Amino acid sequence: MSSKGIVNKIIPFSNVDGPGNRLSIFFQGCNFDCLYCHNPETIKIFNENNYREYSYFENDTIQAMTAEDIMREIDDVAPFISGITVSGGECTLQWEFLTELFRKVKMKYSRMTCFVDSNGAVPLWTEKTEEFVQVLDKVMLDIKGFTEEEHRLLAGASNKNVLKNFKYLAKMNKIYEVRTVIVPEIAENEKMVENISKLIAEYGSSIRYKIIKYRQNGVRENVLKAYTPSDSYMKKLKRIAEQNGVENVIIV
Amino acid sequence: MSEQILSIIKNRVLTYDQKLRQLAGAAEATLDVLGITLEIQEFRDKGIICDLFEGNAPYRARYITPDYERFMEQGSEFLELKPAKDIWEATTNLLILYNHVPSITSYPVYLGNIDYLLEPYVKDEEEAYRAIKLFLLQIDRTITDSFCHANLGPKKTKAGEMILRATVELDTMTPNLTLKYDEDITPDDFAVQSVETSLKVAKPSFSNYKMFQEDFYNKDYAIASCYNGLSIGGGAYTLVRLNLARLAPEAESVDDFMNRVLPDAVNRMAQYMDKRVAFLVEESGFFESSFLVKEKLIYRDRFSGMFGMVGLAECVNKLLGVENSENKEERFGSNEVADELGLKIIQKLQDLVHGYKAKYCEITDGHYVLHAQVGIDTDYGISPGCRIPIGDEPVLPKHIKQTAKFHPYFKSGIGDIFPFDEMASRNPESITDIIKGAFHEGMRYFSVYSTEADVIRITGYLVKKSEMEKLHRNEQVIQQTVVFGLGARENSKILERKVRGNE
Repeated sequence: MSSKGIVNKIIPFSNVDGPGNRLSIFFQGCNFDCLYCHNPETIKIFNENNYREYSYFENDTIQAMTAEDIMREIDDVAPFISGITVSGGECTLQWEFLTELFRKVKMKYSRMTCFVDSNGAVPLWTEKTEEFVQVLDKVMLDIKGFTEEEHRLLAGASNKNVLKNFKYLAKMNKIYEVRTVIVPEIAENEKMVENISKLIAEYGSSIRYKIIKYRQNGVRENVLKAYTPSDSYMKKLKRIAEQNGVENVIIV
Repeated sequence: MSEQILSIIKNRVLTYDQKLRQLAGAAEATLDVLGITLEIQEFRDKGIICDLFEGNAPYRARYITPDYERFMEQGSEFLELKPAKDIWEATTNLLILYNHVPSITSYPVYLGNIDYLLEPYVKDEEEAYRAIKLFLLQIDRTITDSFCHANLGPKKTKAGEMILRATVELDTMTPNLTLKYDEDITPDDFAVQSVETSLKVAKPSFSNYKMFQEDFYNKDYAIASCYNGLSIGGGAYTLVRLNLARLAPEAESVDDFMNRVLPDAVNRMAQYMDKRVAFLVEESGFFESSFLVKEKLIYRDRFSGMFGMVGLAECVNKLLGVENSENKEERFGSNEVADELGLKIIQKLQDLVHGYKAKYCEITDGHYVLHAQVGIDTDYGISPGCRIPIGDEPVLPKHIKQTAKFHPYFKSGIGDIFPFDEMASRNPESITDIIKGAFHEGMRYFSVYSTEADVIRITGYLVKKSEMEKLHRNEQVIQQTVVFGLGARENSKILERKVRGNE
């Protein structure tokens, strides 16, 4: 078991990573390669021994941290936060470390919640990940595409595990929200939103569905040239989701 | 003198009402009855001591915080009002009384815990809402000064929720609002509604109920004017301020400042306050003649004097010789040594002020009380109270921890203001989390507004950006506070505060 997490950066106060004010930890390394990735510097996977070799930006902040190191950062802002959110990269690649971190958080601050922002690719229904799923509070799950083809096109990988994780976590009432980024003219967005909405509604009409406008910020220009969808288009997608039984749809 | 009066009369931008008040001020300014000594005058001339335009012959207390609960129970003999029987009578009675509560601005600076006052009359909710909305509209258009302050909470009430809702719908500057907040009493949904309201109309602010209760010996307190903590049924005779930024150059060293300059200045200012209080209490006849006293809505012995201060940051930076440093890490707000010195100065200031016996201040243990003053429109390069200068603000968690160290010293008022970006508006719970944490850390008073909104908090009071624009174009504005707002906009960079979001 790895004793350190490879962390890209920590934001002590975040208001966009779950309920209330949260400390967000962005872990380094991802198993997807999304066209619209807005923090591509977090994609490359490292271990404790080689993370120092990396320099995507001149002033990279990547560090190998123990759970105690992160606890100290949490202690610093504990009075001000509802909990922590782990994100990335893809944080569940380091699920063993997260299990240890969450256990420590719960032990010290029983009121705090631990949220996981995930692309859903790492199987969480297995016996070895059982404790991880137990200790986390909720998952904010990306379903980036519904069909295998569109998911491969957008994220560069299969979504079989994603859908299976969704069903598994939804049954356990561990899904906080599902998120889909909308890029115009790449996938069939209306159909995609319709399919994902039906899936959400089947497992719990109260699960929040967040549809996110593609934005250029941080996106690699050599990978994707696209524009931000209009508000009216987003509203249309929202209506589709609602018509398919999702009660809580938000556009950001 | 007559030239000054004629120029007030001929002014094209002042409203009739504003002229009347300025003419009264000009008349009072012809008097010299306080017996100001040369030592006091020297510091007034240097701008070290400033009485904040209180006038030369005080004939009413600066801040008056009547016991409105009692008024609701008994009505008023002088005003010939019976206790109200329904929401219409209740709001009318209050509006009538407000018209007869004076203050430094001539308008009432405290309107009571209006949610608790009106809650017993909320029967039919639709009707109550109409009455409350008209009540608030009337206040905004007739009490044309946003130092006027109403309180809410800490308990959630139907009236409280309606007041917040109507405030957003009316989008008004007046009254300023404070939610007395205690996370063990105030339910989360009411706190969140308050934050949402703040992000639209820059109010209510949050006051730390537990901390104030303790400081007021478990008696309820009023938040009046900007954020002044005062005893209900009393108020403040006077507020004079000590400008530490202007005082610092009088010292040769830190030791000299602490041991000679500061004690001497406190002495001069306290003596000046003594004179103002003595004239008001002994000469003016205010406490003998006001019906508020006769009807027990205020008591002379629940008043005190507020010992104000400004410019701690500039004082510390000057004493340490870092006022022109390029690096904010060397200055007050981000530097441990500077912050430590700031605390020492405030501790010393408290010892000196509390050690000075003040007459007629029974309610505050026989001494004046410290107040972190928010500044005046003509202040240039002087930060309010103990605030970190605009432009020097550290990230939010650090900022809160820094400022929280100073808040316990200022029973009669201190506060910080944080503008938030649009993303925060989507997650108001994130701001209630921050406020909870801030109060745990020892903050007394916390204000929030959104950079997107028209109504913003200047230093303690509220002004609409659109109204400042009007005045900037030399058009008349109904609220006299807009004049101060515009001054602060030009002189104190208030639109350049560090905007808070993810950090």
